[in-house]
Amino acid sequence: MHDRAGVVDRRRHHLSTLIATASVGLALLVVVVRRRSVALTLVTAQSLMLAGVAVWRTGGHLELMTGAGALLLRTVAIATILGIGIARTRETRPVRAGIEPMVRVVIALAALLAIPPLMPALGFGDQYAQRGAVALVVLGIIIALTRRATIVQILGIIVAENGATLAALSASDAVPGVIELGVILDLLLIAVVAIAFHTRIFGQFGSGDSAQLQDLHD
Amino acid sequence: MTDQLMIPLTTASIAMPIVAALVLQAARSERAAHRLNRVCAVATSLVGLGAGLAMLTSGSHATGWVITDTASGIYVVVVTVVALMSALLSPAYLSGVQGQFFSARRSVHSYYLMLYGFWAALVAIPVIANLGVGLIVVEATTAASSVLIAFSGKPRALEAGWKYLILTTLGVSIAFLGIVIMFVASAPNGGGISQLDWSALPATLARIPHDAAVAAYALVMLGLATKIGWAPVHNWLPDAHSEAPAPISAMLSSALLPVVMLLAWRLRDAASAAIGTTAATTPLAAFGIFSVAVAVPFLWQPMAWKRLLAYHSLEHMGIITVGIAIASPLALAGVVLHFAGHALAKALGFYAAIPLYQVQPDATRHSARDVAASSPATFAAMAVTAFTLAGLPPSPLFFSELFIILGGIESGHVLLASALAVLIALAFIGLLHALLEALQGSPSPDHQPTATIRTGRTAPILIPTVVTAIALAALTACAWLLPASGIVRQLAQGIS
Repeated sequence: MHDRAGVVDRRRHHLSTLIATASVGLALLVVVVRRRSVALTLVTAQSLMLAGVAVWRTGGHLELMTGAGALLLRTVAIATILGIGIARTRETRPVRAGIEPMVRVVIALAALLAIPPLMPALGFGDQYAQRGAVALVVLGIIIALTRRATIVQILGIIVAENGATLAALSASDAVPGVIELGVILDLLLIAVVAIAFHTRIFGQFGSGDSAQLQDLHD
Repeated sequence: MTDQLMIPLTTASIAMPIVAALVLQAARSERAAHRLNRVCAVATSLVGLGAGLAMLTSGSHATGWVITDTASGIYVVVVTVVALMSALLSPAYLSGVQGQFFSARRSVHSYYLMLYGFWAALVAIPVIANLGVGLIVVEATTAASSVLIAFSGKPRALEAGWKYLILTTLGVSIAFLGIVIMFVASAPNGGGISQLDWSALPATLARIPHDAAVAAYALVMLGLATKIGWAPVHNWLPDAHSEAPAPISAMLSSALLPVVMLLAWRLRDAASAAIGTTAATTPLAAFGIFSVAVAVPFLWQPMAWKRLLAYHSLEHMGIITVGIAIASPLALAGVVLHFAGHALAKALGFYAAIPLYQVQPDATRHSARDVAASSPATFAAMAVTAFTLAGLPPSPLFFSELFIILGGIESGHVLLASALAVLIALAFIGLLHALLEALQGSPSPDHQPTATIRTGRTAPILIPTVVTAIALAALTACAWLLPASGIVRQLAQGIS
């Protein structure tokens, strides 16, 4: 009995490590890529992977499927909303970030080396998942603050939210469905509002480049 | 009042603005929408005020998803008053502006939909019994208010709304990581949502390893800080408050910021036992004093009226935060008085921008000048706001600042109280300079000529000015009674 539980724990640990590594890897790619559509594909892949794990973790228990199903639905809905947004606002050329890709990578790697290891043990069974979750939040903030394409800034928010999702997945069933559902609905609402802003900004300036929004300062 | 009555009344105070938002969508024309808005605003506020006053007088109740106590009562009353005034003054604002964020045909309807949705969320936050659900509602306010900020559709409004949306949503994402840590660390195999109820949170945090509890607390506090606009994560605040429609600026400054701060206050009280009073209070004291310090240099500069008010929000949120950090009964009396006085005076200041921008269109970007001659009613509103915010006696803010500083000295926070006193004095001198220039100075040569406003168009600001002045005088009278009152005694016992 104990052996079987040990095998399950080990399998779970390996999966957690794999998911955390893949999620952080995909987020790092978003830091670098230039095209909005590629960035959206990467973030959607990351979100789908996390939703897939959530569905797998339910073990077929119907009462646990609500949160996992909503996560899956959120991923598809946000990818669709942002995909339509991109299709309707074709850029004549990719929006350049103010910071060169290599510099962005250096900033991201420096933050990843510095911040997650500094965090104390947060009570997660899996230290790797903890660092992965913190890394995703950090990378999400870096993406939102260093990129100028409004669509990519929205993706930064989703990467940061995926950090919290990864943390929740590291301990099975830890987060109640009500909170999960609320967060998912909130993110959907924010995505809808953000894409409305993106469309208005594009209509006003002919590009979804947030660098054009720099009139307000003291 | 019993739970059986309190819960339906509280639920009605949240449901009424939602119903009003939907009813207003049925209006056949803009004119009909404005008329219906007046009826809806009065009806909604009657329910809100009834609920708030019931909370103030019937002690503490925590049942299901609702917590009603002295703190929630104070906040619901003030939020309702500000939202009522904003709703009633919205037609005056909308008559001079063509919103371009929404389609022209439904612009006014969409404005009211968002305003009442925002109103509902603002009333809900103080009465929600659960930190996690509270954060979700805070996030929902972002969706409604960011669209309202960008209502005019002008580039500067789009910039302000976008910045607000991105920065505050990132902040709330950080806070959610803190929430997940609380869950994972306290119940690795799952737990109910009630773990995050304000009444259960002290026990939840006590079950967590100390370092994890401190980290979770810090993450949630940092997330709330971006929404409250505490320095150094305040970048969105001056832009959003200055570019939003004037009635919405009032709701952002007088209602949203303090209401989110109430979550921080409840969290501090809930976490003190588990992580220690010093660890729980230090971030509040640091954010508070730093916010005042960051605001002061801007208060010395002549700038556009609404932008000046926005930096005042930073200063006054800082003062209130320091009072919450000190937490002595005298300081908490100051917090209550400051919250209410600031809300009324600041809201009036933003409403004054409606006639001001009609008489001086370039005042949206430059400091207002010579207002007294061109529009005495607008000048009166600006003067009431300015003298109240400056803390000149008999302003209630004079007493509230005094209470917070004396409360700090009395409870041994001498350094913090002294630093606050110095910063308030510096802000006062800067404000006085800016005020004299803005309100009485002669127009600069590069400014557009100032029109004289017709008396009929100043009527909307006259009534709020008189009502606010009377309410501020009443608050000053209350200042003498407040420190020894039951309200302060209950707040001092903790509000988690």
